[in-house]
Amino acid sequence: MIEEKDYKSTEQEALAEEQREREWQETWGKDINLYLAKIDGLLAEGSSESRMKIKDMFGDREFFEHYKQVDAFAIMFVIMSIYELEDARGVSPTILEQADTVEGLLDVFFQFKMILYRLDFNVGRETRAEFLSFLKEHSVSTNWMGVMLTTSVLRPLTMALKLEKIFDDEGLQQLWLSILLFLQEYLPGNYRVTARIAAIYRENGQTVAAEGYQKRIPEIPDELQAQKELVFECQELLWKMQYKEAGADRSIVKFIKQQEADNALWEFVLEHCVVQEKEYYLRMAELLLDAEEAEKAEIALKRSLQSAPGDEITLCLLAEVAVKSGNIDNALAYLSQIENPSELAVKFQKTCMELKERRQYG
Amino acid sequence: MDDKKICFIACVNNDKYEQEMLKYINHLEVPENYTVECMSIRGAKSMAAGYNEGMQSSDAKYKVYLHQDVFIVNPHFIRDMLHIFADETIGMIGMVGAPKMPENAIMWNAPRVGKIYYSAIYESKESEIGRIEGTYCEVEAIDGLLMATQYDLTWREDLFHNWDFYDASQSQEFIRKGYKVVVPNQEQTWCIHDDGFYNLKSYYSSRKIFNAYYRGESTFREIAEGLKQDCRNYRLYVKLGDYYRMRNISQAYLCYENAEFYCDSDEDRRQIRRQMEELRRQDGVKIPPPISVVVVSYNCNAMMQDCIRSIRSTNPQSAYELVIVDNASDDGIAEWLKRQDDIVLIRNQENKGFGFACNQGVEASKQGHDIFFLNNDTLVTANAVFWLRMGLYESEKVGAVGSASNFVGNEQHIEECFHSVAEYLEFGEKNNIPHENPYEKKVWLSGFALLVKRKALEETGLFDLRFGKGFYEDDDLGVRLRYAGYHLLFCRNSFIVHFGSQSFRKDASGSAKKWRKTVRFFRINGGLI
Repeated sequence: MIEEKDYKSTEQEALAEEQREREWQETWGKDINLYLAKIDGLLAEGSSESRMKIKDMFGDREFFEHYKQVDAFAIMFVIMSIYELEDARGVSPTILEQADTVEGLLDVFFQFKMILYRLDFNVGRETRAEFLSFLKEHSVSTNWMGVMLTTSVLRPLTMALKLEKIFDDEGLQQLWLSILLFLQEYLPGNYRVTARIAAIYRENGQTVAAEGYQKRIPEIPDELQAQKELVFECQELLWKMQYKEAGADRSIVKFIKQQEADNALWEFVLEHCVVQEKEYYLRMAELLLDAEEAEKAEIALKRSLQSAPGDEITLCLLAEVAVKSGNIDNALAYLSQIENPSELAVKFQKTCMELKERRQYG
Repeated sequence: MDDKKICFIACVNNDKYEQEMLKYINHLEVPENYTVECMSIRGAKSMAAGYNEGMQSSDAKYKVYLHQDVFIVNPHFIRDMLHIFADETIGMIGMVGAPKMPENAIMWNAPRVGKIYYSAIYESKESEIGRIEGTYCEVEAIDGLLMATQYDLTWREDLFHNWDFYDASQSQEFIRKGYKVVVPNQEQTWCIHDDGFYNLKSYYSSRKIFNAYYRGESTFREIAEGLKQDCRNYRLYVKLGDYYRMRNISQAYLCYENAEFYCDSDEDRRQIRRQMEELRRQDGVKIPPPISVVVVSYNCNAMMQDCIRSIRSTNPQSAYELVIVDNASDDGIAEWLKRQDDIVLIRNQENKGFGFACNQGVEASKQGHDIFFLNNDTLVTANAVFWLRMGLYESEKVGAVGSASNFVGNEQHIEECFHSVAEYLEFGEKNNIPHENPYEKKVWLSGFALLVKRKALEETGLFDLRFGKGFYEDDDLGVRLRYAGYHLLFCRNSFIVHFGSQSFRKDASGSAKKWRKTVRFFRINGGLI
């Protein structure tokens, strides 16, 4: 978060910025085309040595520092990062085989990025086909795909799940596994994904690796074994909410209503949820209460209390749920746990007491 | 004007981007009875020029000006935009904007609101730049990545010749016309901006134009107030230069020159020089030449020395040369003048009179210099000459300018009366600052401190020697300049201390003489005044 005082809003600061820009233009900016021509020459050579020289150029921090904010250099840096990963794994053809000039490479990179944007936002009927054709035509490696997901994709979670499905549908096993591993590494915590990786390793006879992944999934109690798919589905929605996927919160409520998920399932997924922020659970409880799912809301609030014991809002909401179900004693018990209650909480407590007395004495 | 039509306008120099941009536009839901038009402007001289071309070519009421690398991902964009434009007081919508433009007009150097998906090559993501409560947030400027309008206002291609600040400028144009400029509260982000990194090559020069044009009046007042406190603040002269840059390059140049004179930082001095160099390189721009200060000396040793010191201490060395014509002084001043390295000295063997000596001074001055006739019984106060030169270059038509003083006729005198020279000098410091209305047109100007444009002097000729030794030559010159079509300006914000007729007192007493000369003046000029 930028503080107001951190903004460089004075005239003097603008003049200093202008000075820096001018100096950069005079000292470094003038040589941009020179260096791009040099890279072109090395790309045209196409030998390991010439590629090593390009790598060295971008590896030279002092040099690259001056050009890291020039589009062509920045994209070439990303391309060289992909190449390094591919080269280390012995991938052939590498991204550098796609063109023998900077302009050509930038163009291929641009095309791929544009297809990914469209795929992400469901623009164009032919986009999926275009995407698959691009993968084939340019022999897109798992490294290339991975770097695109971390640098160029605007909504990595949505996109990775979409790609996971496409690769699975198309039988592109290597890419499918790479996406699952990407999800596991960059957006961890999805049981379904972890279970799939474990299954793939198991099928390939890599039992140790498979076991390692399997252990990351909490053991599902016997009474829920029959609903394993539902557990994964529910947990995936929580996972999406954890990564702030738009609409994930409402999807959870929809899932609970449609699937008539039982309390044990809901308790299990919440119990193993790694998120600690109470707001996460309060938001869920709020939506569940709106959807008249009081019991599920209560479970979510109780999970919230684990992270924030004594929290006034959580306890008041729990008390409200208790009052609605006619359990005034429970409500009072929740309210009594509030540390330093506000005026409002005290008033709520008094109302509950009065309610209790009225009930006792008719 | 078709009020059921939306035109998307983009300046294009990359066909692939254009194709992508259109795919997203074609993907938008178009409300019933509405039509959509797309217009690509190629080879635009500037963004503002390109947008004007697009604006004039379409009859759509609603126009969406967007960069070629902007992709609209909100399928309900048109519906959402029309919903906001239902409020007729809203003139323009942007995706990102600044509720309050910062002092230096660099939008991203202030808190902003809005949402965007952006790509900065090493990372790409959704960015909530600033949260908005309610339907929209009113702003002072929006980012040019996407600007939707429901009224046509001309883009200022006359001011912005590049690809920067056309957005902040158009925001100001709408606000000046009384419309609101807003950023909507986007539940889901509306656009992708595949922008990469900024190219700032010409950004900062456009920034100065923006600040000078849209914030000129308040800037001018701020500078005046600042210089009243400290008349040697070079940063304020830089600002003043920026202010004039939009209005009068010659005056802007003089401001930068004065800033350089007062500047005490090597780095800033280099920067100021660069700005001056930039102005010099502009085609068809008249950069004011230095001045030749022509002073006639006659037996006022101490006063003459003080006068010269005052010129030296208040003017940049590169802006003037000193040409002194000594009319056979015998009090030692001629010898002192001879010892000075920076003076072009002409020594007459006898007193040739004021007009003759002045003409000698002009002839000895460097070609092309403007001529500043200055009496030797004066003290030049801080910035007095600077503001005279500002007056001289107020317009092409100005032929000569004159200062205010404590001792001068022709209604050039000040009302204040002080008891010491120090007080007058201090008065000069406070007076010689930017004024709202510093000039007054005159028929002639007093010659005690008279700055004449070289070109005007060449056209009208030097002092007429028929006036004799020292009265009315200046009046006559003024009349001739007026006849030649030049304006003569009295500059209220140039105050020079004048002790008054010191040389004449030593030469002759003379109300009778004055009278005689007046008669002669009328006779020569045919009573025209």
